[in-house]
Order: sequence, then C-alpha cells, then structure tokens
Amino acid sequence: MSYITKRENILSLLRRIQKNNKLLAPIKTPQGDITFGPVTDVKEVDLEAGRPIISAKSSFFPQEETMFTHLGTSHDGIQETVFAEPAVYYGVKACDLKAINIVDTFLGDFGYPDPYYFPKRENSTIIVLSCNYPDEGCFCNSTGSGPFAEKGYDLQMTDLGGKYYVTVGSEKGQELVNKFTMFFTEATTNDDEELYNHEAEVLARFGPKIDVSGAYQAIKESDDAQWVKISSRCLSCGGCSFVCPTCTCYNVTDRMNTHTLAGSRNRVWDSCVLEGFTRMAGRHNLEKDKATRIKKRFLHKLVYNVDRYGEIACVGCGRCTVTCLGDIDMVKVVKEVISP
Amino acid sequence: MTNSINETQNAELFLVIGSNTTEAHPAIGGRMLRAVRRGAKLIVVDPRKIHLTEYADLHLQLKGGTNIAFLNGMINVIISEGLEDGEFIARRTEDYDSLKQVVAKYTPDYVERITGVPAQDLVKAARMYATTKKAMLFYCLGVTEFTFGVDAVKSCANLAMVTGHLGQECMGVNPIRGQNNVQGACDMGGLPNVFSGYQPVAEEVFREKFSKAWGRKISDKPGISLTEMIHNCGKNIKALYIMGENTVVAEPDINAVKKSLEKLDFLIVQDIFMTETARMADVVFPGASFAEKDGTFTNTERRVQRVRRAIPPVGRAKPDWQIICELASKMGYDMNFSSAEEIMEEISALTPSYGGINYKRLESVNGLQWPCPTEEHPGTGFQHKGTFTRGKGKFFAVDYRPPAELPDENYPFTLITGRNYFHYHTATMTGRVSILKREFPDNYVEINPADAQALGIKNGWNVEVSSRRGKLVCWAMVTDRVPPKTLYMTFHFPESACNVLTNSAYDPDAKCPELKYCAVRVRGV
Repeated sequence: MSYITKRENILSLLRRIQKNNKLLAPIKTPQGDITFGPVTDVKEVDLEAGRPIISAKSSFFPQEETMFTHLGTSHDGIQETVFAEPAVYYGVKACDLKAINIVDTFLGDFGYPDPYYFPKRENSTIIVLSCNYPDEGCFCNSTGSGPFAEKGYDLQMTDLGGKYYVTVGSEKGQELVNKFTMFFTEATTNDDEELYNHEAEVLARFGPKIDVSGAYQAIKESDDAQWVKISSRCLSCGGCSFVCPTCTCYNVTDRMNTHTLAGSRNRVWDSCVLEGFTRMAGRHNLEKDKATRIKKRFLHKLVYNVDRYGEIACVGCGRCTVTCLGDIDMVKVVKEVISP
Repeated sequence: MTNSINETQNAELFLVIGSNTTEAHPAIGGRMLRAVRRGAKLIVVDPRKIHLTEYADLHLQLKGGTNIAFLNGMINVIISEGLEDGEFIARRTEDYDSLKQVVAKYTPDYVERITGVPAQDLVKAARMYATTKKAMLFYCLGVTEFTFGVDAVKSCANLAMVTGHLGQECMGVNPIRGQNNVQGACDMGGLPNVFSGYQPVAEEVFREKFSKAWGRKISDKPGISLTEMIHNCGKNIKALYIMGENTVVAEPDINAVKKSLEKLDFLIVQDIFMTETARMADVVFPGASFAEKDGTFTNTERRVQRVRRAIPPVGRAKPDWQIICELASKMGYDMNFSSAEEIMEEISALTPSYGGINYKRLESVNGLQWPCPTEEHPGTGFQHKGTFTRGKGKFFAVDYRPPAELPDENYPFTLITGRNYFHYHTATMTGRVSILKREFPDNYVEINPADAQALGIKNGWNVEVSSRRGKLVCWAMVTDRVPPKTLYMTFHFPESACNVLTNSAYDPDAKCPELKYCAVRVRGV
C-alpha cells in the first residue's frame, strides 16, 4: 500500500509520534554539521538534511555502551543494563538502513544474537527518507543500496516537492499510518507515475558507477606491495571504522571506582586498522604491519562478507571518502586495486 | 602560525623542521601529505626517520641540536647563489648586513661537519626552498626545546625573510601549537611578561590601561617563568598554584622537580584528574573538562572557536574561570563574572587583536582568526601582509652553539624526547581512554639496530636508560627510525617517565628547557 502526505504534515506527524515514542532524527547544528540523534522539539528536525556525520547505526550500537554495572566484587551486585525503549527513527538514509540490515545479519550470526543490540532493534520503527541529491562522495548507486531503499524499512518517504510519497514496508509501518490516518491519503496512479519519473531524475544526478562488487577478484589477487603503498598514507586514526555504518568491532573495558569497587563493564567502538586490535600477549601480532591491516579491512568489506553472506559490506554512504585524510577510502582504493 | 591550516592545500613546498607532524599534529600532517601527493615538494629536517620522510623529496637527517648551523647554511647557499629576494629584503626588513656577515662562514662543507647533512643535500634544499614561491616553513618543539631555542626560531624567520616567503597566502613561518588552546592561553597573557594580546607589562601605557580596567595597581615587574619558579621553590617562592599541568612528569629532571615542590609551604593543583602532581598538593581544585564548560579555544591557526557545555560538571568540579573568580573573591577582590561570555566581552574590550570577536559572531561562523580588531573585520587568514607587527622585519644574526650536555665516555648516547600518535603529554587524559591506552600501554625507547646488536639487546627486551639525573626501565624498540648513538623516548608514561633523565638547562630568553637533548647510557636488564 502507498500513500501521500503533504509536506506541512511532517512535523505534526512527528510531534504526534513523539508523544508515545522516543524520536530520533537528523538535526543540523548552527555550524552546519548534521547529527542523527534524539529529538527534544520536532522543530529541530532537519527535513532537508544531507548525510549525518555518524550513521543511525550508532543508535543501536553506540560508540560506548554499558553492558552491566556492579556494586562491588560480589556477584549479587551485578545488574545487566539493556536500554530499549520504543523508538521511531525518522529520516534514516537508504544506505544507512541497508547498513543496519548488514549489521543485523552479522550480530545475529554464530548462534549468539547480540543481547544489547537486538532489543533496541526490535523496539525500533524506521522511517527512511530517500535522498534527492547525492552528498559529497556518495556512491550508493554503485553498491545497490540507495538512494531508495528496497526493503527492510517500516515506512519509506520520498520527497516529491510539496508532498511525500510514502511506501509501507512492514506491518509496523502500516500500523503507524493507520494510527495517524488523518495525515495520509492513498497514492493514485498519477502519484505512482510521478514517483517513477522522480526516481529516474534523482538517479541521473549520481556520478558514474564504480565497480565495487567487481573488486572481489582484484582484491583477492592484489599483491602485498600494492597495500604497502596504500597503507603508507594511513595515519592510524581509525576514522574509517568509526564513521563506517557497517563496522561492528568493539573493545570491552572495565571502569571501577578504586575505593568502593563499584563500576561498570563497557564496550566501546574499536578499529581493525589499529595495531593493538590484533596484538596478543608478548606483543605478538599477526597483523603487525599497517599494510596487512588495511588489506584485511578491505578484504572483509568486499570479499569475506560476500563469501559468508553473499553481499558486500559497503553501502556507498561515502563517509570514508570525506573522512580519510590519507585517501584510503572505498572509492579510491577500489579504483587503485582494479587498475594499479 | 602566520598562515592558515587550509593554505596547505595550495602550497608548493613544505620545509618541516623539528616537527613529527603526522603524529603530533595529524590534522595538519595529513593535509601536508595530501598536498604532497598532489605534487607539492616536501623537505624534512629531522634527526629521525618519521612518517613524513617516507614522502619527502629530501630528508636532511641532521644531528640533534644543530638546527641553527643548518639554517645558517641554507641562508649561506641562498645568498652565495644570488637566490635571495633583494626587493623584499630592501623594502620589508632591516639589519640584513649583520646576518650576511654571520652566515658567511656557514658554507655547505662547514655545515656538513657540524650537522652531518651532506653538503650537496643542503645546497639542493636551499635551492628548492628559495626558488619555490608558495613555500611554507613549519617548525615545532624540535626547534624550540633547546638552550638556544629562541635563536633557532629567529633563524627560521631569517630564512623566510631572506627569500621573501612571508606575508602572502601559502608563504609563512608556522610554529605548530600542541594543545587545543595553548595558543589561546598565550594570547590571554598566560606568560610572565605580557597582558592579553601580548601587550607588555613593562610598558606604562598597558599597565595603566589594565590597572584602570581592574581597579588595582599592577606591578611593573614582569613575572618569572615556570622553569625559574621551580628552581626557586622554597627560596623566594613559598606557594604555587598549578593549573592543568602535570609538572612532576612533564618538566625536565623530575627528581629535582619533586624535591623542589616538597620545599613549598603551600601547593594548590587544579586539574580534571588526580595527577601525580595533584597528589603532592595541599589543596586540589577539581576542574571541569572540555565537555563540561562553555568558552572558547584558540587553535594553532589563531582561530577562536566556541566550545559548548555538553554535560554538567561531574562531582564537585567547576570550570576553571569559576574557581579563579571564587578564589579571587575570597582574597578580597570581587571578581564577579557570571559567564564565559562576559569574560569574552572584557577580552575584546582590552585586547586589540580580539577586538571584533564576540559570542554572537562566533555562534554562526566556524571560528574567527585573530587579528580581528573590529566587529566588521572578517579575521586574518595569513599575517604580515604589507608590513610586520613591528614595522620592518628584523634580521637577528645568530651563531650555532652546541647543546648544554654532550655525550661522553660515561653517557655515550644522546636522548631525544617527544610524543607518539596515541597519547597526549603525560597521558592524564589519553591514559584513561581504553583504546589509546591499549595502543601504547607502556614506555619504550627507540634504539638503532647497530647499537642494539652491540649491546646484546633484542626488540621488546627491557633496558635501563640512565643519565646523570636518574634512571628508568622500559622496553627497547629496535628500529632504524633513529640513527646510531641516538635514542628516542616519549614522555607520556608517568610510571617510567623519561623526564627523570632530561636536562633542566634552559634557554636564557624563553626559559624553555632543553627537553630535546641530553646524554644518556643504556644497558639490557
């Protein structure tokens, strides 16, 4: 089922949603940065927002998260902390939704669904807002993950100028429309036609496609010397991992008050490009060189993920292309590896 | 910096002296390397092989402590080959002849004997720098932390002025500042001899101005430096109030520093964590961290930027300005600011270079670069266009002199100290960040493979490093990043603090200690 909602309805809709749910959406700071996070007043929501610096993944898998707290050294005082209130995520980009779906697969694998991630996911309703314009470095048209979402959303909205075309992707999404039915009218065949033309127009705004999937063989066969060259540009900041919407590596760390012995165990984002990530006792490290680590990062995204799950773990969001000062981003590396 | 960070984008050449830019200032180092990949030339002057040297057109691996000889050598070649900018020298500078006289003896061969830099490399570097228009000179603590640091800075200025590489976009002398706000601290008069905006205490007119504003008579004697204070603890210094510095780890010869602080009648330390220095204090004032306060930071390119409180101060912590206000009030001076913004109003009223900076403007722009004298002024991207602050640029002719403590039979190695990528200073903050701590959990000493072999030391083994002042144990990182007979350590780790080894001899003008050079020995343990 598809609907139309007028542009002026959006904030009213969000205000109603916020009465019973936590609302998260893109917010623009006065200096022009876009963040994705909890909304206190719906007027803060940026309806035209480009790509947030950090993806919506961080709402389900935060940069730092408390796993449990303890009162002292006894087992009795241990309290597991799982925060999962019902939340609606408005304005998620199609690429970021795809990334969440990739993370769903990974964190649900191995027979141990992540106990901190999934409660938040299960309590989430995701409203995708498809993009009308590519942001700097975007290449979701090359990874098949945008600018329009194919599946995995609850609702998807497409800004047709003055009105939004609303596609329902799940029962949860349908319930939301039913609940606030006054804001929606059913889409007509004319609207369908308009959507089709709009999508074609938007896709034409993207640059030529990059053969990200085609890099599978090239990366497998690439020689190490090439990675020595690429990795010599790496400053080891970990920024590529921290902005990547499909990265899930974390470190676990304890924080304890030395007097009361009360404290917490926390997990915090980590990065495979850091030397300490794979270091073992006695400073032994199988990934000692920057070149090995950088190569492995790209192998994971473009080869290992394909072998295990049948798809690449890159959604073309372009965050690494604007973050890495060493130009070790997906677009440049793929081009470099395919034609050295 | 006389230039702005983004000018690196269009620069044609970088001359980097005594700066491990990618590790200590990665946001600048990364941009430099990006410019180099685009075609800019890079000359690195450093005793160690660093990340930048992998990309350098020339790496001049000079011996530690020979910067002035090297810089005089550059100027010598430039003058003798007629590559100086005569027009610039004539119009914009003075005292050129005295410089010319002093550098005359610094021929490439003479300089090679002092610095170890091959004469032909020096000539090449001089030609490259002099003949490239958009040439940015960068330097850092590898120039300043010597007993002749001030003279070496003057030499950098001499080199830029001889070639006219100043006062335009991508042409300037760029000392890179470390902390987010060390530039701001200096700008605000966090120095013994100046008020905010470098208005000298010694000059009546400025004393008058500040006396009026503050309603108190101000002493006409400039204060003394940190180094001098520490030397005089228990003598004419009875009490110290230390804010945000981990003195007993960061200063040279810390065994002596600790003894000095113990002689005080009273020590106050204000910091965000219980540092090694705070543990020695009679009173500790818990300060608020960057996330817990409003204010501004001024970065290395003179950009004044707003910082906004994200969370309320934890525990009993307060922003530094509030602590100072409350203390001043208890001492009988009614310092009653109600917000950081109100303090900024006073700053712009009393500081010409900050005259046009206020919170309202900072709300909507990504910072303002001083000098920004009026409300309408857009700020200054690069300095010294058309004229220097003092009018004409003055050449100071300076001679090379060796560091205070040279290696000898007992202490045959020279020790260079510095930083690594993952930690900041004494790790008061970075040591509490799990991932940063994991990357480098403990101290190490870089030693050349030839030296390691001669001493029977293998990579990762523990060694004892000692100087005339103290000793420590850490692990050996066997690497050709350091040349033979040279060791390198970072000062990030209080548990094996390299400043037990360093020499507290200091520059006579700036009083900056010689942290970059002392004599040590090393053995396996």
